[in-house]
Amino acid sequence: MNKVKALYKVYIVSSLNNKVVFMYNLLLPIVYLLATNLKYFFQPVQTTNQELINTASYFWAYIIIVTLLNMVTFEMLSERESGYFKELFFIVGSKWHILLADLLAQVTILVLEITLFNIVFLVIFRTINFGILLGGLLATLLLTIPVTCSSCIFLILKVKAQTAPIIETITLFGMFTLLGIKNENTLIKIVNLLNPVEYLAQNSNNISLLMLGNIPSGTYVIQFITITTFYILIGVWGLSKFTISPIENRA
Amino acid sequence: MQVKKLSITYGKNQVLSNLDCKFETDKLNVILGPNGTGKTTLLDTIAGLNKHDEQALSGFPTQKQLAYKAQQLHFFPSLTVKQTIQLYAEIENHPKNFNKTSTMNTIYNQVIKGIIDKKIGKLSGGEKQVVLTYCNCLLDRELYLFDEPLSGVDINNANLIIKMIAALVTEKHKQVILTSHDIELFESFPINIVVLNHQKCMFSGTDHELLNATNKAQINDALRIILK
Repeated sequence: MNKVKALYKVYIVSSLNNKVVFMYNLLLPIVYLLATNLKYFFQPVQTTNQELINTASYFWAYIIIVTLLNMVTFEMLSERESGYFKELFFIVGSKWHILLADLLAQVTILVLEITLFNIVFLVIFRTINFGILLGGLLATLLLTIPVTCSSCIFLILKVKAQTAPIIETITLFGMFTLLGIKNENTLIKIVNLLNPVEYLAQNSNNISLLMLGNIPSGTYVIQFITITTFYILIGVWGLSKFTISPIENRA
Repeated sequence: MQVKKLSITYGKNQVLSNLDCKFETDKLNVILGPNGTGKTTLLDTIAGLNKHDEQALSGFPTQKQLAYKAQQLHFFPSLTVKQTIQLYAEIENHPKNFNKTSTMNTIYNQVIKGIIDKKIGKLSGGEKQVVLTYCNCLLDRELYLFDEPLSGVDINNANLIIKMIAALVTEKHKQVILTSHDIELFESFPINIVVLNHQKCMFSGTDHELLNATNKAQINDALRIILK
């Protein structure tokens, strides 16, 4: 844990130095929120807790998935190609410690980002909603590990530094496009269940409603456990296949 | 530490072929050879990064007992030198009175103190070499691997780096293997030379053995003969 703690501090310093990424991860969703919902600040409408939480959950899903892909998974690929993952590995001694330290640093930053976003959200809708405030934070704390594990599938790819951002953009585009496809076809339903953005939105929705006393169904709990377990298995497999040495450049 | 009939291929490219050589535990082991002869590949293989026949390497510590300073000088660019040193010290769980070698203290006072608040990304190549080599010497491992530790370093700092690395052997009784193009700088230390060329080891032994084998008075002249 000593090693994780030391590396965690380094990742926090390094992440907070990256102001452009911070803006991309948080400012863009806030700008979009303002652009589409600012009218409700001036002309309040009656909304239910469910509607508010449903709206917020997709923004949380965006903030979480973009942060994890940019700052954890594809960051590891970039560190590998630049040679400093190799350097780090021989200092720390374990790929798991490096991933855990980076993930903990991003969870810390996500807690701040989600809190800031939620405050803006509640101001716009002129409401105080503990389901949203606590739900967003709990979702961040509970769901980032399985979602990061699911993204470890990219670690098995022999991806060059120049190709990684393209793959990331296509992946995000694909995940959000899938959200818009509501179909009774079983295959599409399964694909949607496995979609990390859908997983984040649906589960953060249910976690927030739980804060307000809505107990989820047994079917939902089984589905949640199954998908979470599947994501974790992908993570273990992906990280075990992750090579330390760069693929393109020698280091 | 012995290497026997080691062969490494990257795709269709054979880098090492039935390589035999020996590394000494009480000397500075210096791997020499022209560019592209497999020096980094050999270090990577010793570090457990390349698949190889299990019988090919014997006497080497496990991966957890290695420190490896790679050739490329990349590290968190937004960290200061102080933060980088702190990272290494905290990972090793150093007590406040951690025993550094006298050479490390000299390097700290002469070089590192002056750049302690500078960000790693803003250092020159030579300064990064000094800092990252110093940091690697803070780790408590059995075997230290340094890939081109003198690359981009001026002569004064090169001498300090060599002394710091040599102190790992002479003061801390650790094992060191490094690659270099400049053998003359190491002549005042007990060294074991391994010369690679054409996928094989052309020579493995001390500097005196090299001079005797080639009947030369200067190491560089002896190396020219070996590499022909």
